[in-house]
Amino acid sequence: MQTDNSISPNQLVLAAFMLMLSPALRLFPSAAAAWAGKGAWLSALLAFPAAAAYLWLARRGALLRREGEGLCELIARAAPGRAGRMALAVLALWLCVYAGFVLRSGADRFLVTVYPNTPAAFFILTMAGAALLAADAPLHQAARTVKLLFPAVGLILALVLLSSLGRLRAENLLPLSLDDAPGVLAGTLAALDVLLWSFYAAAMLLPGIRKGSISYRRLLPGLGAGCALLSLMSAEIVGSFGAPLAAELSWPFFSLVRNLVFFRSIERIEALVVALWVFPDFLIVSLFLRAARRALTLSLSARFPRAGASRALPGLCAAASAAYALLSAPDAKSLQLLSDTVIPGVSLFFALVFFPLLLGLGKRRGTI
Amino acid sequence: MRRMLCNLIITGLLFSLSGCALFPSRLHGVERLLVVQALGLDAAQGEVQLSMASAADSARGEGPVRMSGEGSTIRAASNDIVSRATEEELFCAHTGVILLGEESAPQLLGAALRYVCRSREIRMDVPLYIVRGESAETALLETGGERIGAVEILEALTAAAPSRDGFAPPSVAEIAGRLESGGCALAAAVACTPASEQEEEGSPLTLSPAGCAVIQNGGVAAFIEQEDIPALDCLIGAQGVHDIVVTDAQGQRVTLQTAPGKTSLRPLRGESGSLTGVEIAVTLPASVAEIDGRGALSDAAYADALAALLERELLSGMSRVVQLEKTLRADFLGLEDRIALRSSAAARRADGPLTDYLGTLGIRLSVSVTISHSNDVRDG
Repeated sequence: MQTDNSISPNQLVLAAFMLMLSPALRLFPSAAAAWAGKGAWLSALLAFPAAAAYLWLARRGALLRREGEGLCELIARAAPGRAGRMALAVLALWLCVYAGFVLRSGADRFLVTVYPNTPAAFFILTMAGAALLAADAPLHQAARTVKLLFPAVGLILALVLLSSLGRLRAENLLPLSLDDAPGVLAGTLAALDVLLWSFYAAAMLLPGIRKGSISYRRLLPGLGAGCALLSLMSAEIVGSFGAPLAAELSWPFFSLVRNLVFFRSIERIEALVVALWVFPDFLIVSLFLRAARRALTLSLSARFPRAGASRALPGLCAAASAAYALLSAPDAKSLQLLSDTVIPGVSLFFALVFFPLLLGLGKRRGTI
Repeated sequence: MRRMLCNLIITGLLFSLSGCALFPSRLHGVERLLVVQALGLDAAQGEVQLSMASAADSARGEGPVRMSGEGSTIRAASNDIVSRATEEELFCAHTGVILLGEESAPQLLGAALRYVCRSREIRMDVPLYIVRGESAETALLETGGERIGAVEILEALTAAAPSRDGFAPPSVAEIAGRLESGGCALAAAVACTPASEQEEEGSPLTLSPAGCAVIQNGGVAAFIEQEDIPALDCLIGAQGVHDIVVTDAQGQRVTLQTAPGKTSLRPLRGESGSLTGVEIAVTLPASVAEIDGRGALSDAAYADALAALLERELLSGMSRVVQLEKTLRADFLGLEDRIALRSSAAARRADGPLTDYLGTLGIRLSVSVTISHSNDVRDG
């Protein structure tokens, strides 16, 4: 049993897996079905080599940090001066925006599947308040929470996926040929977005992880499991509904869950499953609020040295996220646009351009 | 121990987080909800006519609940029902079947499929029936009697369908999926028929299977008759148990019962590799269920003659179904997907969409029946 306050590599892998579950349900099934059609299940598997390569680079990047440092501190060292402060401010803004989007998307999941006619603000403000409290708690507690929650989430997920296997129709998934390659590769982008996003969301736990304790070999099985989960999930959704219908459904995974019957008597468990997905959202929002506060503190430290100690900063980040959640997507169409295009696009930009560019710059200058 | 305790608390809390569809539903009891088990949809002069029924409550001695309402949309029609009911709201989470009047299909089929697919309450795997020659309202409100209603009849029909027809009545998800990907789909059909042989005025009605509706271009394009359902089953997968009556050489009526068999499909290609036709071969075991005279199954020639009669009967049904597929140019048999599964990538590329040449595609059918035994004691 772990007695110190550091986060173990296993906890990091579990956290990354848990963090993946939120965008995995929101973005991947519909996007992959729309782009890859019958080959949606293959997209996630094909994403593995690219994601593994990115993970290798990300781990190399993580080795550049000093003990106790996180992504924000690494960026601050990589780009000292005004450019670095600007980059950190942009990162803080993006983290608040993303946390806000997760709040809005989580509320939408409840409204669409379980609680219609309920104000979205109720879910947004409740989650923002809870995440704000958690953002102030020691970092290792987030990792321990994941370890506690993972059995419940994993069990339900396994139960749902196993029970849906019988509904698969081979003609909805096969045959595939080279003609399908462009669509399948486009679907790979959606899978990569989910996977890379979970990497850098999990990277918010870096301050609690001992330097050098993460081995690439321990991370790879977790990545493989993530790809397999995405593949299985899309195979079951596309295999059950067909790609055109799956692409049109708002939350195809929950539609799949809605159809499940256990032992001819237990049914309608989607409310329970939707409730479980509160945890990945909670984890994302709390980690991002914490990281946004840290990024903002570092960004403001030159002009306002005592900003980090300010009690208002965490509340400010949470308020900004909640405000974004309340104002950003007044209707389903704008939420769809955010979910399918804007957020994944910006997220990929941060994963593929923003972080590598800054860390590359720091490495070249010799500041990290 | 502490971790286990935490897990227990988390699992317990999950149940409190999950709602029962609506906030108000959780706050008042089930007796304040109008529980819907079957929904019927009709179009009447630009309005939607929504009918609902729930099963009888034998424990309380209450008969089936039947209601209908009208409105410009499905939602408005459901509000109309609520406004006249003593309960506060419709509770559709236990809807087990949806009916659509034949005449109303062109106006309402798309709306009904979208409504269910986007519904928070109704499952997407509920079967959708087309009511042949009548409105869904008649089927739901006027069938059954004081002690049982349409819900019980439809539940029995749906439960018996897989063994009777070889396939379960297509669900909303299946119909919507097939329409999205192939432009046509099959939906099970029911008809309102008199419950007894004597068709007297005012005699109670019941619902009976009435074949399958072929859905194309948003409406019902044609029906496959109930007598052709064994043939349809043979073309799709031969998984049902069918009773087929033939007349032997002595003029005796023999009821032959088919058991689940095997259907294989082989694309036929010309020298250039282009698709010239399809061969569908069905292999079925069968037994003699009943003879209204004396059979002689120990005589191999008699058994072969019975098998030939059954093969001819099935082939003629299969020909009718295939002809319908070709006439409508609607691939409701899913031939395109099945051909694709058995063709190389290059051949699939060359084939193009099947509906472009379905009308002229040669479809070769063959049925091979083996009579295994007789259940008629006089045959022993």
